[in-house]
Amino acid sequence: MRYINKCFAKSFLIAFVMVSLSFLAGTNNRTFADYVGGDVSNGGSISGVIKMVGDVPSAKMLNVDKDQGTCGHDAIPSEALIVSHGSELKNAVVSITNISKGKKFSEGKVAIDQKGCIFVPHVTLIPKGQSLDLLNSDDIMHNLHSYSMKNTAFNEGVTGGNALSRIFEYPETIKITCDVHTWMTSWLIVQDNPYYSTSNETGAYKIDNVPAGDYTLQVWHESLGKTTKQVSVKAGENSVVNFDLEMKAQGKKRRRR
Amino acid sequence: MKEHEILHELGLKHPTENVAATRRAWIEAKLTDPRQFDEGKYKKPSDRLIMPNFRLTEDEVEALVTVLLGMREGEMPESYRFKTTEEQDSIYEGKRVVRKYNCTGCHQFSIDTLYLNDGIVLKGMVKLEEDESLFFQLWEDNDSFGRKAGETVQIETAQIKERVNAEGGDISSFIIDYHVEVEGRVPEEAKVFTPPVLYKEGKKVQSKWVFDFLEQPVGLRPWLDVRMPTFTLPAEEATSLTRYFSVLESEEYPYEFIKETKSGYIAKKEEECPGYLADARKLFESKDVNCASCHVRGSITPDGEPSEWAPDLSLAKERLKPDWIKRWLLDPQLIQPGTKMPKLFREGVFQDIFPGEPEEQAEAIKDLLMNLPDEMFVEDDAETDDE
Ligand SMILES: [Cu+2]
Repeated sequence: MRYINKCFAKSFLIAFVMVSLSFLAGTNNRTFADYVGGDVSNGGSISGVIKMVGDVPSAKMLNVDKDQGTCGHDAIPSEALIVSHGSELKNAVVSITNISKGKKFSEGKVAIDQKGCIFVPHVTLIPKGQSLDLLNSDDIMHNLHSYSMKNTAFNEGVTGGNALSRIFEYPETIKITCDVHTWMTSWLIVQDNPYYSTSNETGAYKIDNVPAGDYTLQVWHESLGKTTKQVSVKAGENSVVNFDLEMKAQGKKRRRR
Repeated sequence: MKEHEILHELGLKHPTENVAATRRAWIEAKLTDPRQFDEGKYKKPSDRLIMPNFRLTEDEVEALVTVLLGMREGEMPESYRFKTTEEQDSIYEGKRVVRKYNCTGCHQFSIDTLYLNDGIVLKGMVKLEEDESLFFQLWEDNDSFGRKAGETVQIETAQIKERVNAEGGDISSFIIDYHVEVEGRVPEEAKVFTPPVLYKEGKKVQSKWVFDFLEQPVGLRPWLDVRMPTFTLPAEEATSLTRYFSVLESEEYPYEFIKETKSGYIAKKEEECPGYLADARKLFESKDVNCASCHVRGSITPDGEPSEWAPDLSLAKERLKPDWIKRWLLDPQLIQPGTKMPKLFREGVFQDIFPGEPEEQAEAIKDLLMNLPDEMFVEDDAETDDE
């Protein structure tokens, strides 16, 4: 009897069954015009390179000031802005924002790991409704704190070697941090269609199997914000769409509510 | 002619009764349309009635009529007087002090309420508003809605009959803007820098501590950039506020028996379960719970920047109510959504350190915090943190 404390007579078997069922009950999910996936014949593709223009600040180093036995003593380079010598931008997310019918979502597990006190990968994309595994491969406790507005937010400690899983109902860009190790940050992008891609070290991305048509293509980057372009996709052909992103001037506009 | 005949000719039945009714009717008419008595009369402009028409609603007219009819010599009859209970008095007085010092300028005192068309009432906070719907985080379980506290739900705007917004926390949007623009944080993350929400504060904090804090604020949250000012409240007003927090939550005031700190409490637990407090301490110190990794403990401070430290745990036994500590440990997000404190005790964890249900593990940590031994918060010699 693993779960029963030797010192207390009471056992709480009901609680055992109820764990995490609540996250599946999407009774009030009313998103409009859900995406329909199917077979795409003779689709086109979109590819391109994302670059940063303007001054590229030198890579920020994150100070490791806790749990150095596991996290190491050296500062960790920030992944918030990774730009190659050729100005190519890594970890920018490109997606089609206005498509309601096309290819199927790819199956397979999506996971974010915490390893050496870093989130791996730094940017993760997941179709809405699919289960995400949140792992901890370290031997210390990390907490997973999601800052979401639409999906139920959580902040749970995960002990070394353990994992959590969560389902996200609504498309949204969610920052996930570990509050124990404040340098740990990652981004989860919940998508409502399967047309998305993340740029690699050379700034390159590719989206395939796109039905011919006109679309709005959006690029988002955690430090450089987002912008859109229009693209025409022709059957069996590749359309090249490159993006140049720039650091926004800071502190100019003030939001008021 | 007899009296009643004269009255009858004038359209009256009884002298006092009817005069009262007539007076009432006249005041009502006057308030509804003050210059109607000039109608059909020939008057010099300077003699005309000048009271403006305030366009009062029916309810407002009735309220004023009631006040005016009540203005009479002598004592008001008992039955007309507004009687308050002691609790109500405490609440009015507390609200007065809150208004006087503009506590709501910084602190949020209540949460949002949504009244839906189908009669369901939701309590929580609006997180995001879109054109046709909004996202609402529940702060209380809702059986009729089938959702639990902590969950965020999407509600169509058309479903909402009435919305009552939370009171207070006026400064928060400015603080959030700052951390978003200058530090590039997401707004939800920046919420942690806003002054603490005082909703259900009476359930959380011991009244003696609240009183002392009002008289002499101490820094509790090293990460905040705004500080509670010393208002030098007169003792009466500090008392009023303290009582207000307790009465609002139907908590005991001024005295509350805290069994956890009394002799015999721990002894009994030790008897039932030898090594109880030592095991609780093992849980507290285990690398997978490691409270001290973030929390200050008296003179012992965690690694990292002071702005990232969490509140001093050596204050807990004087400051917090034991029941609250336990609820907090079981699910911090339910009490303070967005807090940096994670939920640690889930079904099946830490069985090798402190076997039992989350409930029992939280109880043990609560008991430890209420009985924190000196050596756990006073730094002795060379014993420093691991590595
Ligand atoms: Cu961590």
